[in-house]
Parts: sequence; structure tokens; C-alpha cells
Amino acid sequence: MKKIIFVFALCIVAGLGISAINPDKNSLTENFIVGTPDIASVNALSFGPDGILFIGDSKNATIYAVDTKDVESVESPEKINIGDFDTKIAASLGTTADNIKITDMAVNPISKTVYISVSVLDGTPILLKLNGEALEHVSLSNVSYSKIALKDAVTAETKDRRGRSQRVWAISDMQYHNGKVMVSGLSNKEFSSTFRSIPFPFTDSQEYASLEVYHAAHGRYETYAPIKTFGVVAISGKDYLMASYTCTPLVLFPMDELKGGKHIKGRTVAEFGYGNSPLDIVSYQKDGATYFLMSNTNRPVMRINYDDIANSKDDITERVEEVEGVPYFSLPLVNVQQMDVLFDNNLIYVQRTSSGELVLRTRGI
Amino acid sequence: MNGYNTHFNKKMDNIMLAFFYVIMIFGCEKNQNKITVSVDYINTKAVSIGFESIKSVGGFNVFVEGNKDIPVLGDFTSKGDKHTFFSIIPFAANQNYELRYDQEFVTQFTIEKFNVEDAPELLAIYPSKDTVPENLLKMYFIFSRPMQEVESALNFITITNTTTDTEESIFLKLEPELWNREHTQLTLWLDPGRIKTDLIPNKEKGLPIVRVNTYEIKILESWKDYNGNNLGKEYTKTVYALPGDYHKPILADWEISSPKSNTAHPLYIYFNESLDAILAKEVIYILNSDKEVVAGTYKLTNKETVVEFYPKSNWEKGNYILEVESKLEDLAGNNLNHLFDVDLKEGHNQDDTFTITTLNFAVN
Repeated sequence: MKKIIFVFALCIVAGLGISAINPDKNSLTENFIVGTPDIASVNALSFGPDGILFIGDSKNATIYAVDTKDVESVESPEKINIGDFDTKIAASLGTTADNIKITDMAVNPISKTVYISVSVLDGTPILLKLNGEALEHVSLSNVSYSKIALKDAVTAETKDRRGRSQRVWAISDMQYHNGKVMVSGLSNKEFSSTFRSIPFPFTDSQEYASLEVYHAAHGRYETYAPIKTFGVVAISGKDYLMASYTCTPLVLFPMDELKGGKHIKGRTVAEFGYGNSPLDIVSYQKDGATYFLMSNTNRPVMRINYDDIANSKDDITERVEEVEGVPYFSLPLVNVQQMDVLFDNNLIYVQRTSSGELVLRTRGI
Repeated sequence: MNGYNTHFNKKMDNIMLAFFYVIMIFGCEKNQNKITVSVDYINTKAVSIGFESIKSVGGFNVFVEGNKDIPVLGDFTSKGDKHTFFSIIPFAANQNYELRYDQEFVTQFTIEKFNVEDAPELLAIYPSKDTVPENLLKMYFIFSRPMQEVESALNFITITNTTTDTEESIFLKLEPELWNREHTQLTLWLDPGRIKTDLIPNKEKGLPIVRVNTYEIKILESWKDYNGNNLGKEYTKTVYALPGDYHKPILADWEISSPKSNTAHPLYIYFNESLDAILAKEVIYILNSDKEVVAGTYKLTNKETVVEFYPKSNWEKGNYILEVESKLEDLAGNNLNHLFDVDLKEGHNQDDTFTITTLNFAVN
């Protein structure tokens, strides 16, 4: 999933700093309990510090933080090239490829282990990880974990007056950044989406914001356009949410304003046209520069230079007919369903090839 | 039991409720030491196999038939020569498996398919009326049983414009899809980018459905439930598109038919238009004069134009308040505070504030 490696690097550095001050280096897991989290679905995966895996569960409208204890550092893992990946996952589960679905993938930035969430026909969520090219089951029984429910953004008290069940927020993306888990979600009832910022370690608090974007291809402001995927970018020492919507504009929102249920207007920095939907955003560093990669439904993976975003003064508020804003470069990678940075300048991705085969591969970027 | 996921643990908790044990014995003529495999079923799910062997359990693995490279993930336990293998999810029905020792074939077993369930049904499609505004925003599909969670729902829905005899693609493909927790209720959005006037998708492709056209929406029989059972039949819904609805629902236009006091007769609320079938049952409250919620049940009728409220206790004489949350939407996604399709200029924000609107009525 969408992990911003340079952010993790900062987190690790920050974590080291904290460890130096606080002899209790496990303060992040202080409020964890050991048990079996009642996880009903795995829609999103994202690693935080210290091998903590965040699991987004739409059915339970809950984010779980699981201590994988997978913290043995690996610098340069083997490259991976697995063909018929869905068939192999299915075989490991004793079934066939038409009975499974890969819901997300995330790389542990410390061990470089690839974690994959899978759903089977009846919705049973399975968490797997790669050991070399072999698949291993990651049991979610008797693990150290904490969790937080995604409360309704409004009228929590009203909600229960008729004893209604908690509404479902389909988690479209989730990412840990600088002590917070950020989650975008879509309602399965009213036409709305929410963005939440949840401090970690979890407490009772979570912040909400409603976001407004000028959709350049649409030529309109849209308050209710659903966020599909997002990343975080720091510009002049200030963090911005870089959100990508279903029709692929890139929009920056100042992170420090995303709270208190405020209505925030975003600055559109790029527009990639209609007819495409973003799937994933990751970032990496190369030769001292930071780049973002965005996978898409109907376009190749795009590479965007961080500096182009940071230096962009664009504020696309006029309708555009085609691509506008920061430049991007199309990689020769299409039909990429999942991707993450494995290490340094190496991308790992799940791709449906032109022959119909599903492959898990690494490549330099 | 290590390695079981939580979903499965729940089923194990139910072991005493409905447990039956079927032994399937297979001879293996290839080995001198004949090994038989028993399959343990819980609630028709094959959760483990058992067999006896003097060999160390560490050399055994289970494979999907024909696959010698990828063993099925799970855990072996042993008591003496009796070995049990728990797969991390139940074995698949009608699937053949092989037990191997150090890669060598030992025996084969097959998982039985129990047809104890009726076919799942599509109970309702909302809006239930057959005439809809051409800016219809969403449709709900309600099933009798949880549906499969692997394949995209849109693979099982076809839309034909019978006026022009053309296949149409009107729904937005979303991942994740919008289901309820039980996976029995699916929400599909008609492509919002095509609905908003003058947006490029709207200009390029037009509205998903267009007035004076008739659309036939087919739900294919091949859509499976969570147990792999196909829908019992193909379902068809036909809708005729009317001009768009560009008006917010207005409570002042609603009519309330008050019941008499000292009765438990229903209260009728007439919307004068069809509203969102799911929201209309969830965002309306009846309060008494002390602002206490009146307990009862809500029923949506007459093509989602009427809510009937059945109080738990007899009505008391007095004044009451009807509260409605602003997120209640009509069929075009217009809610009580804003239109779905509105041209926002800078400085003219949508009214995004959550509000509660009230109507007063009396029971005499």
C-alpha cells in the first residue's frame, strides 16, 4: 500500500530519538493487549514504525494496529519474480484462483517482508507474507494489538437514538504518517466521503475534515468527490495531504488544517484527465530526489517528481481538457493492481500481464 | 488450532450447535502401508482431515490435486500415530486434494458438497419504482444471503437501453465496493461524473440514463453467494427515465397523518416523492414533547414515498416533533441542505453542515 518511504525514514529517525530519551522503547505498544482481534475484513494494509501493521477493516469500521514483531532489519532483499501469483495463493489456501481476491499489499520497511491480504469467497480475511518466494500464513490469533473504531463524523449521540448499527465506511486508503493513521472512507448510504486523522498510539480522539477540490477536468468544485488514494508530501517544512480522486486530479491539503470537522479547499496541482481511476501512491528516493509513483486503472504507472509538486505554484481553477499541472513520466507498467517500495529504488508490484497472468515482480525505479 | 483465523474460530465456537462428522475413507494402493483419510465437517465446512501413520508428521503435506509445489497452509497436530491437519480456511467443496509424504503421493481425498441451502434470492432493488429521474444517483440491491466477496459485482449486472437496443455501462466501478457489514446490501453509484451538468464526463458520455429511454437491468444467475451457490434465477428490473430532479426534498411539503391517542395506530408520513430507501428508514425520528424518542418501528411503503411509524406503546395525547437529519437524499442525491448537481463558484460553498430539520404535529 501507499507508504511514503522517506516518511518512514523520518519516523525511524524520530523513533530513535525518542528511544534515546525514553528508556521504554515499546511505548508505542504500551496500550496493546494480547488476544485475537475480531477482524472481519482486511481492506487496507499499512506499516508504521517498529513492525506495527495497521489493518483497515471496513466491515467493523475499525483500524487495528498489530505488532508483527517482524523487526529484523534487512537491507537488500532478494528480487522477486513469481508467475501465476493468484493461482499460487489459491493453492496455498487449498482452492482455485477464482475463489480468492488480493485486497492489499504492504512491505514492512524494516524487514522488507511483503505482506498480502486476501479475501476468499465468503469474505474470510487471510493475511499472508512472503518468505523468499514461499507464502506463509500470518496468524491473527493471540497477537499483540490495539484498535480504534471509526466513529461517525457527526451526531454520534443521534446515531444511537434508534439503536442503529454502526454504519459502514468503506476504507479506500489508509496510511501511517508522523504519529497519525490517516484514513479515507466512503459511505455505503449517503453520497459522502470522510477523511480522518487518528493519533497513534490510539486514544479516543480522531479528527475529521471534509475536503473540497476543484476538479479541473470536470471544471467544477466538488465537495463530495471520493478520495481513492493519498500520500503525504512536506513542502517548506509543512506537511500536505496529497490526495488523488477517482478522476485522477492530484490535490494538496494542508495537514494541520484537517481537523475539527473543518471544510478545507484543496489546491489542485495536477490533472490527468477523465476515464481513469488511481489505485495506489508510493514514493521513493533516488540520487537525493524524491519521486511519487501512482498506479491507475486505465493508464500506466506515473512517476512524478516531488520537487515539481513542491515548487508548483499551479492552482488549477480553470477547466482543462487534457493533462495539466505538474509534469509526469509514464513507466512501461500497465495493469498494476498493487504496488509498494520494497527497498531503495526497487518497486514490488502485482500486475495482470497482457497474457492474463497475474505476476508479483520487483523492478528498479 | 493455531493458524486459524478469527472468522473460523467463531465457527469452532459453534461446534456443539451443529456438528456432524463424516468420514470419507480412501484406500491408497500405492503405498504398502495403507493410509485412510477422514474429513471433519462443521456446519458443512470441511475444516480438517485426520489420518494414522507411524511416520513423522513433519514429512506430510496436503496439496490441491495436480499441484506438487505449493502445500496447503495449515497446522498439523499429532497424538501418537494419529495426525490431524487443520487448513487455515476450510477445504473447498468438490475439490480433490492429495496427501503427500516427502513429496511422494500417499493418498487422495475429495471434499463433499452439501446442498443444504436454497439458492440465494435478490429480495429487492431500490428505487423500487419503474420510473426514475435521469439524474438517478444510486441503486441498492438487497440479497437474502451474504454474497461472494471475490469478484466485482458489476461482472454480474448487464444494462441494456431497450429504446436504442444498446448495451450500457452506467455504474461507477469502485474498489472497495459499497456493501453493508453482512454483505447482503450493495450500493451502486451511477457514474457521478456523468451526472453533474457540463462536467467533461457528462459532456463526453452524457448522463448514464437519459429521459424517455427504457433500461433493462439484468442481474445474472451466475452471481454466487458466500457459499458458492448461484442466484436461483436471473432477475430483471426495467426503468423508464424521466426528466431530472433538481430540487431538494422540502419537509414543509410533507404531510403527516396523525393517529388518535390511546391507540397504537401507525403514523403516516407522506414525502410526495420517492426518497432514498435506506436513509429514509434511518434518519427520521419521532420525539414527544419532552424531546424523548418515541420507540417504535419504521416501514417504508408505496415506492418509498411513505414512512409508516408503528409505536411500541399507545400514543399519548400531546404535541410531537418529527426530526429529520439533513443527509436524507432523494433519488438524485439531493439532500435537505444541498443539491447534488450544483455549480459551485469560489466563495459559494455547499452547505455541508449537518442539521436536523423538524416538523411539529399533534396527537389528539
